Amino acid sequence: MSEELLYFNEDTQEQLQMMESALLDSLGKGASIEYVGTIFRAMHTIKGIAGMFNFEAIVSFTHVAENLMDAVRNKKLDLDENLLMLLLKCKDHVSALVICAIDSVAPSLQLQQEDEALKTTIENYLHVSPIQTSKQESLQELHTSSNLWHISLKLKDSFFDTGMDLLAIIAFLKKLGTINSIEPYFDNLPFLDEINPYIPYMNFDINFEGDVDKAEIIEVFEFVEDDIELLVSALENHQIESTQIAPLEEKTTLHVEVPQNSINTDTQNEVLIKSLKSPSQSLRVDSSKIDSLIDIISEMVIVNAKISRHAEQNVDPDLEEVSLEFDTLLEQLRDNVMNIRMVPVGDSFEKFRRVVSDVAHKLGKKINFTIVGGDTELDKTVIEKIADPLIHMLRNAVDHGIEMPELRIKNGKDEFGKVELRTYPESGSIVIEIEDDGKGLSKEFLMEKARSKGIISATQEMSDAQAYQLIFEAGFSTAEVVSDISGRGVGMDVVKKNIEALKGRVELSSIQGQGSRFTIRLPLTLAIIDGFLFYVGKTAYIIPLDMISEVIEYTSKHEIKMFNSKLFDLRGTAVAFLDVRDFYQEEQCAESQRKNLIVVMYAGKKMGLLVDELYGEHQTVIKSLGDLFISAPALYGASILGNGEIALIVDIPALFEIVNKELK
Amino acid sequence: MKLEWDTLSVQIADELKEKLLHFSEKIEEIMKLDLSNVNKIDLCAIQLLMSLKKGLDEVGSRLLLLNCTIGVMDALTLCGCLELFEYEDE
Repeated sequence: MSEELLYFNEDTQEQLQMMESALLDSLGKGASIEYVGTIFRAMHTIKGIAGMFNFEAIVSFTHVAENLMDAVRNKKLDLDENLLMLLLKCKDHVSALVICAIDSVAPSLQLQQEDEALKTTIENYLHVSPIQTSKQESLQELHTSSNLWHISLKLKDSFFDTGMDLLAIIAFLKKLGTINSIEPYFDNLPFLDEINPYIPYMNFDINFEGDVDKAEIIEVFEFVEDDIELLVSALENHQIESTQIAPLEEKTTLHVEVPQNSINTDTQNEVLIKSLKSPSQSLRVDSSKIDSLIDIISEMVIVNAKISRHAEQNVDPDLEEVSLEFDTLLEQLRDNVMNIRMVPVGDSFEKFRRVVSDVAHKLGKKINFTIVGGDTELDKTVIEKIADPLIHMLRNAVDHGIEMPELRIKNGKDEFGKVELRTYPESGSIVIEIEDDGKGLSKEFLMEKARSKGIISATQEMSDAQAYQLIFEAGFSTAEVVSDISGRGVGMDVVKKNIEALKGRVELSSIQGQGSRFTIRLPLTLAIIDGFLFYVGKTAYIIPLDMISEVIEYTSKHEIKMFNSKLFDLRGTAVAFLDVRDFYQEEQCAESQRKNLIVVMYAGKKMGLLVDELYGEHQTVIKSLGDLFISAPALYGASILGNGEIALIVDIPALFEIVNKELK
Repeated sequence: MKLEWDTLSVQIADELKEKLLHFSEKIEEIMKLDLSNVNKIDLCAIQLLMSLKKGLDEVGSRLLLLNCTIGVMDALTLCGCLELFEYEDE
């Protein structure tokens, strides 16, 4: 995809998302002027951008849809549920047209038929117009009815910085009507040897004819509104002259002046666009470029570890110091680059509102869906990969969790079911929760179902937590009536696998009659972490630094003398511990002078790891483990140390699971 | 002189200015600038051509744009500059 098309895609997707959010908010909370404005502007902006690319199908459809929104804006139509649903269909249709435009393919026959059908429905709406109110005074100005307009356009010094080509904008203006004349004039155009090519010296007077109102003309220039001064005035018929372009000699000496004698001087008909915001400081970069940068930094981290090792072995304090400084700089560089990849989850999660709304609408359920913690940041790749599992869980929550409104009322609940998507950081992880206040799940029901499916034996007993995990077993379906909304029981095991592929964990908790909660814990990033290096025997291990609560020397005072005890005394509290040597069957080497306990924390619980030597903080580039380690438990990946050795990265959440099982 | 770029835009403003300055060093009665390779031109580049023309007018020389493509003619029409230049096809 070319860079221009990439931007077109990003811009339209952004507008479509804004439109959808406003439509869903209107459905949930009722329409407001703000929402109506957002929907109209999004539709209009898409039309504008598509016009610049000559995507006729999009321009043609959005123009009709925009008329519909304009009627709503002018209070000729009421934005009721039916109209909102129609606009949601329009949004989906535009989305499909955008895909065709990007792929450079003509809309399919089905899409063309949909186009016609939607346009006809819109036309019908526009002709029925149930509300006939007079235009408000405030709208009159922007909707002054005239076919003839004078547009005076002065470019600010910053204009060429926008990257926008004025000629494309004028070309788009031409699509709205006829440019009767366009007259350039020059603000002291310098000679070639004196000119700064990045400053515009040209300005324009345009006489335009078209069945449009002033707001529509102004909006043509909205992408450059900060970088121009625009004067739009209605003209009387007699004021239109057939303008001959004057010779250059006369024009080059002109200063920027609005030719007042040719303009209707009614000040109400003059709109000056002023700078509303400072120029954007953002830069769009292809994410693959950032990935490539991270790869290079990862290699640099490894190379620097080698340099540091070399300096240490050859007792070269100068080189060691340089390596240390370099290490600090690399750490800063890594953090900065990693931060570029971190994006707020809210932007991506917004699209789930549509999913919930559609499922609820289809099932006849009423849902209040809220997103909490949308500004929590997560690696972009992780966000993209977690989307499908979350959609599945949300569908499940609406389909299987939330009861029908009548049943909810009968059970003393609000007829609107609550579904909440929460995100928050927690000790080196990001937690995503989906909670509903539906019917919940009973342990007995789940176990009975699992027995009937042969997933567990008839006599097997389970704790609550274990029973709830049954829902993630392959082929387990809780739906009494299998629906087409959330699948046929083949989904939740795939959901779990997808989350585990992201090195995450998912669990379910539920209270019958009160609701259910899915909790997903994901690592902050998948590339480089701040690790903590330690040795057990001859093997190097790394754990994520931010999961470490404290490190203590293990002495006899910590021992809890019980038969086969797997606990230790941490200032009066019994905490589970794991002897890493036993667990990974490391060879016994010469007795170490000191035993150390690394206390790690995950999901609010603590555990001690009994290890030999502590090496401390280590920038860790995560590499995947080969098939050789496939049977080794609780390993996250590996990292290459400066001496070429491999350090194993311990999967702390998996270790917690294992220890918890053993304790039980 | 023939301009080799396919697109004359703000992205190459400095190079274009240099090229046009070089072109304008040797003054002749008719200065021919061949635009046959140019398919797209933006306002920044048109402005540079206008500035060149202003300088040549000053010394009594004529600027002739040769072999203009449809893209160039459309752009000049859109910004109202079509009639400010002289054209010739070779």
